[in-house]
Amino acid sequence: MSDVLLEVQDLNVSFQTFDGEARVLNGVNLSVRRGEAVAIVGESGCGKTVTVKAIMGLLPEGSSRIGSGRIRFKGDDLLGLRSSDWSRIRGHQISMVFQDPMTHLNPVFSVGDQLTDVLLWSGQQRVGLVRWLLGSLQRGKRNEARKRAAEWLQRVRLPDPEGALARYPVELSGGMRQRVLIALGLITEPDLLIADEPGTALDVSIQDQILELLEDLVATQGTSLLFITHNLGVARRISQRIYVMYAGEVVETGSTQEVFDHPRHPYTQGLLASIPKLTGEMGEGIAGRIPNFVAPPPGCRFAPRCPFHTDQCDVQQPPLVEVAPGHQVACTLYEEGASGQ
Amino acid sequence: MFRTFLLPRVLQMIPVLLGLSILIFFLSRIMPGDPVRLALGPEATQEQITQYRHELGLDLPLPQQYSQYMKGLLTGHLGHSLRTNRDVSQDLADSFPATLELVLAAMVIAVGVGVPLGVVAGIRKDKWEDQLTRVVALGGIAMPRFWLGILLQLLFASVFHLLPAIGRGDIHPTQITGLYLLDSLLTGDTPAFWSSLKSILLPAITLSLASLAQIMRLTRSNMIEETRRDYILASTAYGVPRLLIVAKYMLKNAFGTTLTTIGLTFGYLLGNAFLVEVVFAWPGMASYGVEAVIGKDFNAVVGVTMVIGVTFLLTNLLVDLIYGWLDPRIKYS
Repeated sequence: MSDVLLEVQDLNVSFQTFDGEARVLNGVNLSVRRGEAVAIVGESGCGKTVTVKAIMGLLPEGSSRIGSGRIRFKGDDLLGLRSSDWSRIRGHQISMVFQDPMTHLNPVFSVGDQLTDVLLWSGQQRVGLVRWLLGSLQRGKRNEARKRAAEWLQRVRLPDPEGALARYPVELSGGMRQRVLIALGLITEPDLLIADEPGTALDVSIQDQILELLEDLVATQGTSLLFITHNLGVARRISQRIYVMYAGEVVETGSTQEVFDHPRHPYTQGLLASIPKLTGEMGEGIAGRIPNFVAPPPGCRFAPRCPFHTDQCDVQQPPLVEVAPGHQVACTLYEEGASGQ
Repeated sequence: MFRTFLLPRVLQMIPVLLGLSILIFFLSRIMPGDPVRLALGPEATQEQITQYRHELGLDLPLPQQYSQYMKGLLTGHLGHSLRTNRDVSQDLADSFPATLELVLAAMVIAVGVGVPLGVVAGIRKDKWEDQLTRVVALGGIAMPRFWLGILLQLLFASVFHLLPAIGRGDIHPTQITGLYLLDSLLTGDTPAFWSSLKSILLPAITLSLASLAQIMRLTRSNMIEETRRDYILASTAYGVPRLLIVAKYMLKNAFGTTLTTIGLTFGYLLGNAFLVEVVFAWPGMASYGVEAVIGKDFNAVVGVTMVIGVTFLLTNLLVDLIYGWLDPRIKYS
């Protein structure tokens, strides 16, 4: 497929912890095509954020280790990039909208300063001190950047965009800050936007506005979207394809419609069953908790919590098998010979 | 800005200074030993002593002495020095600029070298740059000032004959502020500038080293904290170049606590420059103050303390102002 923008193959990431090596990602595969909106869902701590940090080259140096795997973006091997080459990718090719608007804006710089710096400097390989000082003196360029920053604030529907440029994050409400974060992620007009649960820190009505805005912008910009969420409703609404992750593994993937209509993996079924219904019943939930990453279960990582657990599950990690066109599941129930339940 | 931020801080200074003046005035009067007897020497008769005490107003009740002193203070007179036989304000006008210049030069070195080294150590944590600066910092804190001063004198003055060992230089500029470096620049007096610069280098380095080490370590730990911030990660993800992130986004956040230390250090150095002044025969106020304490020259003691107090408060006012610019959250809270 030539229209594949991002392809992650067999990605393994581990962290050095006090108790030993925690294998946080275990053979993750995923891809995003041009113009496509893809969601990664799963409960907290299942490796969603680690996956995107690995894609952006933002994993902490020293404590984390990428064991094996490949991350290709437009033919570039991202894992082999030197730090100076990242400037080509971050910002203009791949950018990010972050989750918590309270902590992801720099408190001591005005909104305008932060936006114009991204506009003026993103993608520059290195900035000499002299060039930086000269650059800050170029009034014309700065003014133009401010104008574009104001346009973007308008586009994310921030009231009084001109005035907002001079404001500091502390003067803005949570919803306004989230809009600024969206502007920061999109101002470089990236080919791929990674959104890490934007709006989850906000109340539901604001969250809804934020999602609508994001959908809108992505559609008009033709940007591909990789959306991370633990909220299935949000994933269903925003994405065309979906990856369900559990404990650092992709357990099910397919078109969003297909996965929601015919969930195959016991974990996906459990997740869907745990959504509270409008009829008043609470969801059922899944018993147990995410396994220990230092000593994970030997076979399927979901096995200890699985209602369909068999001896086969503890032997080896089940591979992803296709159960319908484009719909893949990693579960012994669907392996060759086994019949669907 | 002026009414909500600056004015309250200026008004706060008044009770502080008043309190300081009361405290130091009464403390200086109840110091054990008789300053008059000390000033007149062992040959003086009891009559002479009584006479002199009366002249100085020391036979009056303490509150009355204080009110007279405060009257003098408002007209710029800090009383008579028993040791130099001049008005203390004159003595201070002569010696304070020398100390101020020395402390300012030390602060410039401490901040100008300490902050960049701290930044490098912070972003290169546990690498060789960090280890090297750690050794310098420990040495700087552990080594007594006078000892370091003597070592530097030995090396640069006696062995290499590069810099003068003592004094404020041979060529003095026309006095404007009393800060020789500044005066020589203002009058365009190049020979005086070089002479002043050469003579201030060693004492300023000696005075600065411990503060430099402190500022460096503090900046380092603040920078390390900054590297873990979400907004720094975000800036990286937007493709902002590393140097800009470090020099602008991280440093401005990290500089806050360092700034507080700078303000406190300034006041501390003013009062504690005397060992350096003694070693380098620097005609400053700190050594004047120590001699005043030893000689029980109470007016001089009060004068020196008040000058240090005022300078300290003004410095911290300045720090507060810079703080407001550095962190907008302070202005709005």
